Amino acid sequence: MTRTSATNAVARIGRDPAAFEAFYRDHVDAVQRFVARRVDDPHLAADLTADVFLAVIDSADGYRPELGEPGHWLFGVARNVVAADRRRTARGLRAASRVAGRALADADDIARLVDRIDAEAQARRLYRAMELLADGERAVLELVAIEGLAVKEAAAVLGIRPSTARVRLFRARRLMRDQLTPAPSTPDTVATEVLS
Amino acid sequence: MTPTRSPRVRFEDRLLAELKQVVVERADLAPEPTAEATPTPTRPARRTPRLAVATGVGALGVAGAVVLPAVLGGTAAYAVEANADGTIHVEIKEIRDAAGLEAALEKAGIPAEVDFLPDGKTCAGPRFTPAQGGPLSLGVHGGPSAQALTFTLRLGDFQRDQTLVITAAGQQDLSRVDVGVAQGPVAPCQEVDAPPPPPRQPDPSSGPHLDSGTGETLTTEVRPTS
Repeated sequence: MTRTSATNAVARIGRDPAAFEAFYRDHVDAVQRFVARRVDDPHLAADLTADVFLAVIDSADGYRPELGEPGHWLFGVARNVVAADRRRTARGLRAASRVAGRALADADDIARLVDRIDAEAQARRLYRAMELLADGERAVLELVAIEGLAVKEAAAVLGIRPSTARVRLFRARRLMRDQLTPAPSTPDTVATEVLS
Repeated sequence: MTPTRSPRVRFEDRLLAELKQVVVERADLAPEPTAEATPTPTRPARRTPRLAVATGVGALGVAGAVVLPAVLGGTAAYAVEANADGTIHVEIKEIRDAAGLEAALEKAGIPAEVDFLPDGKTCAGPRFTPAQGGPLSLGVHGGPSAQALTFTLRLGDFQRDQTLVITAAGQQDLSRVDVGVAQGPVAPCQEVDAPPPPPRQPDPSSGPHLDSGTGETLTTEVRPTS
């Protein structure tokens, strides 16, 4: 029954401020960490944090339990928001958002965002290295290696079979092994984890 | 409205206040009848909140631009609307004019292949390689209502060589419309006789099956979660 109630709770996010607030408070840290693992500009990080939750509001009624538990579904949403932003940026575009995150961040907030971003330098390095992978392989590796999901959970988020996810993960790791040289100065935890 | 949980109001609190405002506006403009009374399986049509955003401009005082949807194409049978934030809202009301819908989607920037087949017919074999990941979790979603099948796509999430594939096969029924995303070429639909439709399963999430890349096709059956 927890599944059903979780589904209902997520479904209400788009129109029930209290349900949204509960979800937001549970997940805002994870979203900020997720973003900090991918972008190094604190202003952009603030924007993307807002964008991810706007996407959550817009797509909450499309949530289904097959997509994984709400926290994992959120990773899928966040992933797509960040990826879409990167593609737009590559084309020199920046979409106007309903809520501009950077306008809400003062100097102290920016300093905290910078700290967060600094703390995730290693993950960002991995994320950048993953650009060479095919999209499907990168998606699995991202959720497993950077976000720490189990293969089965990542498969649910991406809507693919666990066996497919495992094959892609294997392929991605093999390709990454050739691409990624460990940074000499930092403890290379994420990278070695991925490659082991 | 501003949360005062801690002496210093932080970015997270300000953001929460803004976002709650967005939720409140959505709820105000498109109230959901008896949300608590019955955990109703049919989701409200996506159209309502979007229309509400379009008509509620005057009421919006929050930061950020309000983007009016541009109607790119539509008839009594379908509607395709583009928002400047990259989302495309698609509504299929009747299973006819596949060519028109396909053209409207392509005008919106989405390569599309639409086939509406007569009763008792379906397309032969797998016609394409399903794209992985993306479009489902990020916005190819929606659900049936009595009148229409609606879903929302994000233009930015379509990559090169991806095609939106919409197929109605077997029966002239909106709930039998299959929406998928193909990676690479899509073979033309070779019409063959459809197997008899499986018995309907009443299920909370029953609706058009949004194919996210499992290679399965069609119908309202729920994919087993493995």
